[in-house]
Amino acid sequence: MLVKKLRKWLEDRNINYKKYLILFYIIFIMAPVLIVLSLNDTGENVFARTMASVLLLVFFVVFFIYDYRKKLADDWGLRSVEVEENPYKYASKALVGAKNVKVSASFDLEEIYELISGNMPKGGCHFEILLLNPYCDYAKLCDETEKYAEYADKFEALASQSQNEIDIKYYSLMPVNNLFIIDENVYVYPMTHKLSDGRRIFRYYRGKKAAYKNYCGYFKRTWENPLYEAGNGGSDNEEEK
Amino acid sequence: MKKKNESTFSVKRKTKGYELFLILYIVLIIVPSIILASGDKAWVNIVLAAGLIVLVLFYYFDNTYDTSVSWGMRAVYTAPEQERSFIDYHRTHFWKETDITLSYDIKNFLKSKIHELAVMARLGSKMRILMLDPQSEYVPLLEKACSMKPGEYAYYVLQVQNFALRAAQAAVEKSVVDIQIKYYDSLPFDNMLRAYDAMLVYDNKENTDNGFLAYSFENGLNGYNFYKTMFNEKWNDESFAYGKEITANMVPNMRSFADNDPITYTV
Repeated sequence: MLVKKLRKWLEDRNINYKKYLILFYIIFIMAPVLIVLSLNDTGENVFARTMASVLLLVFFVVFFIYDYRKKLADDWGLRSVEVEENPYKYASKALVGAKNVKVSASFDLEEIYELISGNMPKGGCHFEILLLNPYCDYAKLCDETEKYAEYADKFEALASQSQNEIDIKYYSLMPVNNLFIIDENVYVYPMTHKLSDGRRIFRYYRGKKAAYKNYCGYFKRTWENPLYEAGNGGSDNEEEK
Repeated sequence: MKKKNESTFSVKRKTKGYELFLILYIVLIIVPSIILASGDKAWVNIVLAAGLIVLVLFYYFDNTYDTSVSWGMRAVYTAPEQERSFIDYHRTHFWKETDITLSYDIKNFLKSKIHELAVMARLGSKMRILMLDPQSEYVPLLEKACSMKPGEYAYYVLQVQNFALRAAQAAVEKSVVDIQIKYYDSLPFDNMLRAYDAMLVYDNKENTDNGFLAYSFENGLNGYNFYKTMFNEKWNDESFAYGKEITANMVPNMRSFADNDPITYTV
């Protein structure tokens, strides 16, 4: 029980304690003991034998640390990929004690509204919510405009009631993903990657790694520039029309 | 209650392979070497090595390992030049089956891969190309999202159709050129390419930081199976994907593209 709690405490703070544990073990326990042993031993080729066993162990460690697939997933912070019918329940766990939440929502507004209103942090949390503009061209194609407008109202009401600071912006870009960035957890729901029975893929990243940077950059760009403008591509079309 | 459209995909946990290697490594190499390499104090070495092995296992087998092994993500490309290495490796093999989903960024996709596609088509690769209908109401929005000119999408769709016709005329002897093209009218899918033994899934230009992101998945593992199943379901759903002939009349501003933006390749 205690070990589990300690592990959770360390994982919550995103400390790679396992790596330091191995380094600590090699430097402070293994190396001194082997040196002392080799000094005391009077057999033949003691040094060569000791070095051989150390090298074997080091190769073993290096092989596992530099495995390309694990390394790739580590670099991107990928924790899990799931195929689920209702994948939003996974985000609720991280939402409870969150301090900084960024949400980009374009589909499934009902589920997202329920998720956010049901798991509202108790206070001191800063929300940034990007919603699809109910009156843009994209909303007309994706779903009924009324539904988007209804949920936009609900989110506004939530913002006025809540103790937390909630900023809402509307964007008029091509809707692609639902995206949650909750502290250091990134949940990505690609909208078109869907099987015929309604199950959908989603990816969960954790930690300030490549995926976090990528999606934060995307979110920041959209937040500052929610229309197609010069820097965003699309100004040419407007001029020609 | 049975669902109407039961999907055949199911997530498989794959944990064999590396573990087996690990056990063999410990049993066949580490333990004998330690026993052979030490004298009276052998037990100290063995205890130390066992401690290291336990720590490494503790470090190594976590959630990330499980995901990376069972989903088979082989690489993430963040620039078109990196993605080039994927094609350079795969062009040395014959692509028996090639599945393509194409809508966003159709121009760069075609320009960077048309040579390989032409070679594979001529040798008899079974190609299935699924594209957004150029007469769909999503097309103007798509063109805006990819900063294309009006009519440019339809022009490149016409180029794909011409490519299929040209490839059929120039087939190698005894090989059958089999290129099927279908169209759909719904929210545009992300681009996908299944070639030889990998599935390349492009993330949309919209939701990336620097404009390009592609994942490659290894054959036989969950990621590959998921996208393959997804493609097959869309392709075989007759109410969703349909055949159609694209003519030059459907392309607005045909002239301006034909002069300025030709795609050159030899079949």
